[in-house]
Amino acid sequence: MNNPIEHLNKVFDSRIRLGIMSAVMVNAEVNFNELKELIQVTDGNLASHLKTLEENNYIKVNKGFIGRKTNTTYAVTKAGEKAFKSHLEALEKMIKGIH
Amino acid sequence: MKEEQKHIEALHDIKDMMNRSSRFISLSGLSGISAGLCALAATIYIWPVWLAVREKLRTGGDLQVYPYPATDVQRLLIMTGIVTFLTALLLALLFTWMRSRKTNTSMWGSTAKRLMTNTAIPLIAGGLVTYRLLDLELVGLIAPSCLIFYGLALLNGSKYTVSEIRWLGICEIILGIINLWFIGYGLVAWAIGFGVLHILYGALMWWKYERV
Repeated sequence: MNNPIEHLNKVFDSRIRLGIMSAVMVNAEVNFNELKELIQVTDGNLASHLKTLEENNYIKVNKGFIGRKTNTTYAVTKAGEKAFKSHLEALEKMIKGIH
Repeated sequence: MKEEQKHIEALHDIKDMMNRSSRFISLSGLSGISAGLCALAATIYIWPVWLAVREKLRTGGDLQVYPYPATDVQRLLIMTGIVTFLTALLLALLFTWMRSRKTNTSMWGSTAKRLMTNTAIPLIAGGLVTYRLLDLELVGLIAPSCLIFYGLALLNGSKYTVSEIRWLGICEIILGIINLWFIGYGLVAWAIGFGVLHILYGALMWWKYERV
């Protein structure tokens, strides 16, 4: 039997990571402060979740400057897009499965 | 079951984050209402002058290509337009600022910037066209051109803010096009488009999203 839980991605099993992925999916790029405001987490917490997503090759980091201030932006990778979409599909299937 | 509830919440969260990160949602319905009231007040203020000007133009001859009105009347009309626009904009910004504090989102984030650029481009183009129409003494085409370009600006901006603004945009465009065949009723169309439609839209949005 096909078990939909298999398709749920462990990496996305956190509200913060889901938030990051949601934001990078619908925007060409998002910077650190925007993510912080959106998800309402501390710097350290956000940074560690970003690191995990980066290590999984789901997001790419772009370090730039606005004047002298650093401006780090994040964008979704092809792999990240694919993984997030199948995660969403799995979630949907699970919910439909009950009704 | 507990597990399913969690998944539903996750999906809800995702949708919410996608919306909040890509759209400027602090636009307040009260902004629409106040802008509409400004437009109606200006219409009432300018009505007698406008009637007189229209009568003069009508007896003067060609309806489509109006002759230039006397410069002081023209100045009065233009000044009223500018003052109305600035007051409406200021009030709209004020209510939106108040709402952005409530929803805990910044007013000048990248979503706001995107919304501004995408509405400003058609709006500036429309401003130039309207200015040129006035220059060429095609006074009757000014109101339709304002309405159509404003509608296009809203339509374009609707991708970056509350999606209902798309319908307001479409209504403004239709009204502007209708006005093209009723030259001489520009102020009426203007009052409906910038007054009545704004108030209706603002009230609906307030009712839907902001009512406590």
